[in-house]
Amino acid sequence: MSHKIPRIGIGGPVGSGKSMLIEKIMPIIAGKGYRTCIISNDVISKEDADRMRKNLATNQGLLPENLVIGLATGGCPHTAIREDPSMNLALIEEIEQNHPELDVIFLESGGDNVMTTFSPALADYFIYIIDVSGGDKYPRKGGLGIESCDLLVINKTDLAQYVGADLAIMERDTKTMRKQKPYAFVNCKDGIGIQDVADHIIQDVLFEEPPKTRQ
Amino acid sequence: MTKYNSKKPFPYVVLKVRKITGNIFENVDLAREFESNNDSHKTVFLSRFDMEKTRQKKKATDGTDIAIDLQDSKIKHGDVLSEGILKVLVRQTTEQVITAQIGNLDGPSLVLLGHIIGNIHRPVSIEKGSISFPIYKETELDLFRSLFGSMADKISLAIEEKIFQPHKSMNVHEH
Repeated sequence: MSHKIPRIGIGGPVGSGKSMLIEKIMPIIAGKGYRTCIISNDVISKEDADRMRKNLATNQGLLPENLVIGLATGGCPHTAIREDPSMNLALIEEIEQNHPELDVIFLESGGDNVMTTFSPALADYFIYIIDVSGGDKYPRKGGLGIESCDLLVINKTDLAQYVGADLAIMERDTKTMRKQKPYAFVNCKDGIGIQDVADHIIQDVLFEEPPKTRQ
Repeated sequence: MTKYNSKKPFPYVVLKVRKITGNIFENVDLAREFESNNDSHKTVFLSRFDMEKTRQKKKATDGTDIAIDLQDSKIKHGDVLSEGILKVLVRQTTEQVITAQIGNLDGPSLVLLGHIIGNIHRPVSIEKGSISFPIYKETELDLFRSLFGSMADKISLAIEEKIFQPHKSMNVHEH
């Protein structure tokens, strides 16, 4: 039996910055020697996977091109990560058999705050990402994504002033809704807060252990 | 394992556990071990959702970081995880549930009741004469009373704070 590779699920609404977050944290994770794989769930399109492959694999060489995989779910992506994750699980099983050297697998999927959660059978750690353009009421409205995720990421902080979102209100409400659970304000575009997200992954998912290749 | 972490005071200690060695509700000797004050015995509280995870990092009640890596084993309330002399007792956190006493309902009404709860995507636990399901807010009591319609007059509904353990085949996704 192959050894289970830690899996991180990244979910959030369309346009919130899921792929961009992966593109920004990957250089930090790979820079520490961790070997990764990315699975991007979408209904039909594989555009996000194609973009991440070109940027992270082809251009930056952070992982092999064949380890950025687009999975066309043929239905709402959130169903493929929650109700019936068998498509993803089958793919992961294949990856674990063929690439035991990997340290972590990233799973990306779209979905709104009410619907999105990763089945615990699929993901060990769930990052839910929203952006400030939804308004500063977003965190206090609660919901599964906001409340149940292991790390809440609030993206595009640079846009707050243009959409009338008060970041202080968002932080206050985030603390209230999530109690002691962590959150991070980021701006993927210019890299602000990205190191904080990477630190959470290294500490809480990878347990700060060295990459397999150095063990 | 001891790791240096720039954000935390040195030494930053993470204790890692990889296997389930027993359950205090099935092993009296193991239960007694946790009654004594022993530095190598820790307790962590996990939510029902986190109980299903096989890899996670949590704080024990004494503040120690515990890294759990069980591969495919599932944790149950009362399980003891171990690594060397370290033993970690896992207790499930309580949550709010609605418990409905359904002894007065006939067969068709029971089916309808189950359909209504399932249609709101809640896992259920069935005990003798009652059915329980988790809620997020106390105001949901009114919601379910309304959904149950005329059946609500025949059943007693109450909110309880308890450890909810869904029936295995009824642990559905929920929202």
